[in-house]
Amino acid sequence: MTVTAPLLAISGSDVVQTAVDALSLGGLYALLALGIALVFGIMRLINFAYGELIMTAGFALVVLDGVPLALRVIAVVAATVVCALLSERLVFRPLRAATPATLLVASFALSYLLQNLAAAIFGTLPRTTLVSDALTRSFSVAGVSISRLDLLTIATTIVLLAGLAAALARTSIGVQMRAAAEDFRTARLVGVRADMVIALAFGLSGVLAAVAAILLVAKTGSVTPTMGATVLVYAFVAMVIGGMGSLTGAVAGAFAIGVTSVLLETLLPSSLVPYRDAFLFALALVVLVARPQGLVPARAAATRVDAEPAAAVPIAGSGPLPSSALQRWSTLPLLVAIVAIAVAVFAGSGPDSQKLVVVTALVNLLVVVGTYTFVGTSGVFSFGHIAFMAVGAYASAIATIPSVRKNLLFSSMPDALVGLHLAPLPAILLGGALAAVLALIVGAPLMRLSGLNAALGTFALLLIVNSVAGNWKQVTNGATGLGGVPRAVDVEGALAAALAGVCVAFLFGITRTARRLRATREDETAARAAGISVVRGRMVAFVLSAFLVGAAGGVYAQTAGSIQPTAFYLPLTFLTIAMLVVGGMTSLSGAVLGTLTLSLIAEVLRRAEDGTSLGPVHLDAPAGLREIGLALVMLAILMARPSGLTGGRELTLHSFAGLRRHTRPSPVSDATAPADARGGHADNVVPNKGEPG
Amino acid sequence: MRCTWIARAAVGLTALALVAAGCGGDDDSDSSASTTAANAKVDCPITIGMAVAKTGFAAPYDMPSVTAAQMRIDEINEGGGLLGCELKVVAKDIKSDQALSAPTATEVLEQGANMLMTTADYDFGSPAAQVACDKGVVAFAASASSPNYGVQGIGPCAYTMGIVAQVEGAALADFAANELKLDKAFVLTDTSLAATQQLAEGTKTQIKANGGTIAGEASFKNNDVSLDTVIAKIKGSSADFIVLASYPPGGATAVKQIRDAGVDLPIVAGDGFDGEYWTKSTPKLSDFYYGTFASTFGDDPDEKVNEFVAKYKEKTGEQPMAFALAGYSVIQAFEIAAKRANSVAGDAVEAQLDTFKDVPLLVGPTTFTAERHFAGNRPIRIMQIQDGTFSYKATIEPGDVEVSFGS
Repeated sequence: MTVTAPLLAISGSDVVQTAVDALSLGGLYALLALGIALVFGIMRLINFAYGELIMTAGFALVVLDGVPLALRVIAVVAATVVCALLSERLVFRPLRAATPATLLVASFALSYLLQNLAAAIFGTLPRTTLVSDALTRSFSVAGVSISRLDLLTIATTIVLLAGLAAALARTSIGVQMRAAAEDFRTARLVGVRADMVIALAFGLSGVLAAVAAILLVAKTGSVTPTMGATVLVYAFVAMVIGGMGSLTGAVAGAFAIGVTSVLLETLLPSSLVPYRDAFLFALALVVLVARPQGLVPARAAATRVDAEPAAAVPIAGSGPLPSSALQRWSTLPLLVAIVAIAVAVFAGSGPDSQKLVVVTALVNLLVVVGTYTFVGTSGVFSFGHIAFMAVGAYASAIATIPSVRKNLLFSSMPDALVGLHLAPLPAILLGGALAAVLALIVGAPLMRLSGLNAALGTFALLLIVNSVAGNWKQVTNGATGLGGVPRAVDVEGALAAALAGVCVAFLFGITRTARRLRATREDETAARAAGISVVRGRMVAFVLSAFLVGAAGGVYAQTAGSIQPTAFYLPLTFLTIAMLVVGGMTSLSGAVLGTLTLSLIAEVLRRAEDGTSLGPVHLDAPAGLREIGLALVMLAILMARPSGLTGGRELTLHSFAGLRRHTRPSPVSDATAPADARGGHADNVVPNKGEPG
Repeated sequence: MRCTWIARAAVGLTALALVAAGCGGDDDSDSSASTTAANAKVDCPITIGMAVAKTGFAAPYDMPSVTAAQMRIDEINEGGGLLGCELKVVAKDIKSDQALSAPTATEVLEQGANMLMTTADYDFGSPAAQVACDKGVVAFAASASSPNYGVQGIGPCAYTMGIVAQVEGAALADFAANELKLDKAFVLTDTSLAATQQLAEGTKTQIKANGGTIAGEASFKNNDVSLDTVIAKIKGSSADFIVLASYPPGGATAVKQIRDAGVDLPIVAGDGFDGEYWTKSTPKLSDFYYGTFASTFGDDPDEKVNEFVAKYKEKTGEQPMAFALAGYSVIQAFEIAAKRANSVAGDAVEAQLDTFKDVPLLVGPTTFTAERHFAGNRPIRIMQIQDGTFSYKATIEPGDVEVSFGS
């Protein structure tokens, strides 16, 4: 049973034990990372819905509880592969010609859809299941406890990696897959069947997801709708530091993450162990900056990452600029008017509850507009802006909660923070300023990286800030968060903040810095040749955009009254990115219209759902209509308008002048529609916004 | 021209806004039509408002309480109502989304709610409760375990029927010392929730007060895949029992991996482990003990609890989780206080609730004071799992546990 406390802090068997633990965790992450890397390698798709393949396999295991193990494994793999193939056929194939951003948001939407479908079908109470009793027992060798499952996990990883590598190297279809990964267009020209190759990659990723899920559930015993999303974070970071799209790299990165994680847990003083993930992702960030090509770079990584997206991008915002200054300037009053009218219609005479919903939408608007200032202008993606929002929210909350309350509720807060007290507006500005400082610090190394690596670096930032916010009791009050923030911001205040954000974003957009930055977005090489400093432009936009999003956090804290670390994590990140991309990533009008559209649809669906459960309590009310509906609407919009509702163009007076004319809506998309006409087909399905419902 | 589409989108958006605004208008007319004076002090019907998680991850913890509350409401209506009025329910879904907590509560209150039951958690329920306080309506959480769900963290209108985590932790320590005769604890804390950390603190304090020792400590996160490192620390310690401050799924994973690794030490844990659903991954689990409101396995010392469980099963076909009792008791407490006050006005009900002294509710004798809006001294049931079977084990009377509101 238990061993008495060892005299030496670290004995030989401890070292071996730690090594076994580290390798088995690394092996599990490796299996998870392999599947994402495979699809990224072929399709340049960062498939966030991969986690839901794992979840699908998990629920399949639960449903098949009691079925003989061999049969259960086969059925689980089959179900997961079918799900993977369906996701490719129904979602990603129609979007193949779309930009990486659109594909990414489609994968968010699919992930959200599947999670909520699972919640509707299976409920959200965790399910538990025993995969194999024999497998989970451990045996002891010289004082080291080794679990059969851990050995199986490591062995499976090695076998699957070797098998995949051999198949890719030796078989005809493997060669075709590698060719497609190297240069998709040329491969098609020489007769590689794209549909088949991509479907095969998805099918294989389904097999990997199923195998990973079986080993995962054998280890944890638990299945929930969000199980895939939580482990995916580690696998994703593993792939990033390993080298995007490199299979060996993904495995190497996964073992690095597993080993580092176990080492941190073993070696950190116990008060710092809760910060394990912050350290882990900070180290990942360092690796990313020091070795942007990854631990084991994918072959031709440089050309793939830059060349392929560039080829797909031109839809976005590259249409002719509005002709006159009048047209150009008309965007600002138009956007201000649209936001103001929407708010007036929705919150003007409505009950207080409606006003609160409008306030939430306005905060999101400020976040999206702030995010647009960097992402839209530079073309570099960011997963990290919600981290800036968190910084702004915490700063603003601490600065406005009355000192008496801080003394009572947050006993360990430093005196300097307890004594700090600011009026609402200065507190919001302080939040923005602190976020800007953070952006300056992390931007300095990140903005030097390639666009994709910078984006992945911001993802690490989000994970680090989330871990710190969830554990830094003295300042953030840990998981409980900060309550008792005076709710000083009402609808008018939130509207003023959102409109101020729109104005700042617009004014920045017409500066020389922003114009030059847009040039680097369209063609980085040419812009550099013309003497434009990419790093400087990106830095300016990054810091300004962090300020706006930080300020949005400040507004949020003062509208919500309390803040928790969970509010500033992946769900809000995905939602705000989706709003931006659905609207049209490269225009301010897109940011505004995307936010308004998705906020409205979410609210209409919520009300529709609510209507069915008025009166006596219905325990079996149709659950999750809003979430499932919102995901479907997002996917529909992305398929109909892969470059967003506005196509990345600004709304001008011209747009309204054109209302009376009868023309095809999207000439630019036609120009880049793929030869197989699927993209062309999608263009005909422009949603007719004049007839809602 | 090329921008036609944008313009159409803008027009469409406005139309959509008008539709949505129209929905809001309907709600207004609903609430104004439903009030009729039947009594000098109370407008009938009395509306029980609920802003709870019908969907999302918090739903499994809220809905049993909602069902049980509805059972008590039905009983009151069958018995002629409260203060001569029928009880009516307005329940809306906060979707396990903090951002929807306050708006949903506002909607419910706009439909005339005379009391509000919120999500049974401080983080998710307090924004809703705050709205109720602002409107002078009493707010309840069925089983929130934070003492901050009350005067200190929200305001004088907020009450929880829950077992306060620090108190439960202390009770677990007493149980280990007095019933299991164990005094060397390994405390394993899940850092993903404030409640689990408070439970661990309460246990550690009481173990030391009882003369025991903390033989080792470790922390993990609920979504951790592997607890190998933690288990190595447990094996390397001289602990004779484990305190597991967590909840499923991560807590279930911890139990599974601890037992899979051959560690058979007794485990004591909090009410997050109530219910049989999480033990399928460890079918023959033994020497596991957890504190909760009552046994819902038909063997509770209080016959009223067993009768409630039978009725609940009859109504839903499922065995309730123990915190369902708290939902039932929320309505009981409101009913008793409103009768004593002869009013449903927030301040009148609050004044009565604050004088509750060992009031025999289904969850057990409940005391509130003007300072303590949680039942800090209510007896706690300890359940036992042996060979995968759940049974009632003991009742612990918590002493005077010092409850801190800070972090």
